Amino acid sequence: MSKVNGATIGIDLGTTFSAFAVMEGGQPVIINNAEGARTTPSVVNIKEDEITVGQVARNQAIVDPMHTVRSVKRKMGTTEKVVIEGKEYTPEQVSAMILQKIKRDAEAYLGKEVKNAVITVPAYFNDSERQATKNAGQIAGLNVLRIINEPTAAALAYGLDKQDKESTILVFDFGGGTFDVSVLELGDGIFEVKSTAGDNHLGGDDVDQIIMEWIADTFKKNTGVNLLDDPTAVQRLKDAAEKAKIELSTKMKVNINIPFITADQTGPKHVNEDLTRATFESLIADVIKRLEMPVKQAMKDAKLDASGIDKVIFVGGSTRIPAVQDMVEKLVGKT
Amino acid sequence: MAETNQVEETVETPTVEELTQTLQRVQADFENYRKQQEKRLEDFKFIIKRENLLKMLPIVDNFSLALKNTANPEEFMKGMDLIYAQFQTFLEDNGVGIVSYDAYKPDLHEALMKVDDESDENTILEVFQDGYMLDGRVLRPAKVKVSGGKK
Repeated sequence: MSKVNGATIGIDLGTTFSAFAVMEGGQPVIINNAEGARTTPSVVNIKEDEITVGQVARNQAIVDPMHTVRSVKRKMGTTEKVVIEGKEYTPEQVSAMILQKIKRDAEAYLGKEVKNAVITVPAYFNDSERQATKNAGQIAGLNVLRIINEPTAAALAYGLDKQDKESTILVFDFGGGTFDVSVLELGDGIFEVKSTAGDNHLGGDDVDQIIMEWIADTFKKNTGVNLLDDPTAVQRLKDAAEKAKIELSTKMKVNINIPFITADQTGPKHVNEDLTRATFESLIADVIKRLEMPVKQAMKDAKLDASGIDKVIFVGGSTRIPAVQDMVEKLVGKT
Repeated sequence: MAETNQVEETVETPTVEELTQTLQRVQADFENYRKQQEKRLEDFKFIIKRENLLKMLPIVDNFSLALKNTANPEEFMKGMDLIYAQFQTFLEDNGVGIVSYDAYKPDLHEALMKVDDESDENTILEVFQDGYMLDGRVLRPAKVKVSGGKK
């Protein structure tokens, strides 16, 4: 391997969120951004004299949609342009703005200039999508050492490249808004993507939505009030739903407690409901079904059955849901 | 083999000047490392504070909502109970729990009074203020009244 000059960071350039890491003592460490968070929203606000990226841009997305670009990753590799106040930007240019913020924040953390980057892309990205990602890095002033497939990066993080024997790995990546399944074959320390499948519009957010609707339904039955009509209540329901989902990964029952959610002439009302894991699992049965199909498809496309998969890697917060892991175990026979 | 030996033979003992330079370099590296560590510690403190405050702010929001909804005392109290439960959950999630009161233990309880009582000596008769544990260590000892046993 040729010698690399200057600091190098690894970047997960995501559709909704991005993250970046540096190697410290042989271990990858996620770097917190300038705001102190581990992930940075992949949202850009473009004004003539100022470009804002991340949480601040996300905060303005609703009041200033004309200057806001989100999910630009979905446009990478296309000739589609983003038009802001009559000025055209390529998806590469917009992605570069995200990468510039990441570069800046990483430099502040490291106390030195970041010259190089390794950027991950979905395994299903074609050549032009990969080239576009590389271009974005260059526009941001980064020397892009490698473009790595997201499932491969996951396998590397688990140190799977260090084993001697050949093996077949299924990477199950169920994040906030997207779901990807990949089958990788490892031989001589090199990964080959055998197949990919997934659902671009299925994620943990859908699970939150289901819990939210369940709370609202239950509340309506008890009080006759529809919380979904009240934007403030909806925001609080959303937060409570996400919290309940996370807790249900380790607890068999959670208490959903939202005091003073609304008020009518009889006084204030509160949400105070127990949600058991069993009820939760019956609520998300449809989501689990939708996760099954791509797993079967990926195995079929790789011409493998369960016995052909040596290892499963789970990526993304939503894979902590026990029902999700159970489903994969049932299909693949291992986790 | 002979060649390797020759190379080894030609390696000279480093001069005082060279060693001084190396030492200066190592010292400079260490100074940089120390500064970076200081900065990281600051960042880390901020992150810890941030994480905890982000969990506490919804509780503050709820208090502020409660204070705007005092018309129906019964429902107000119900709401207050729920907020109190949220606070307790927040403490539990942070590894905070109430100390046990099985018997007087000086590491867990600060005795403010000792009184004659029918009960066995060192029974805790009253808790003036709860004591708390943090991750198995004492966060704050309880303030208690202890029995001195029968006179």
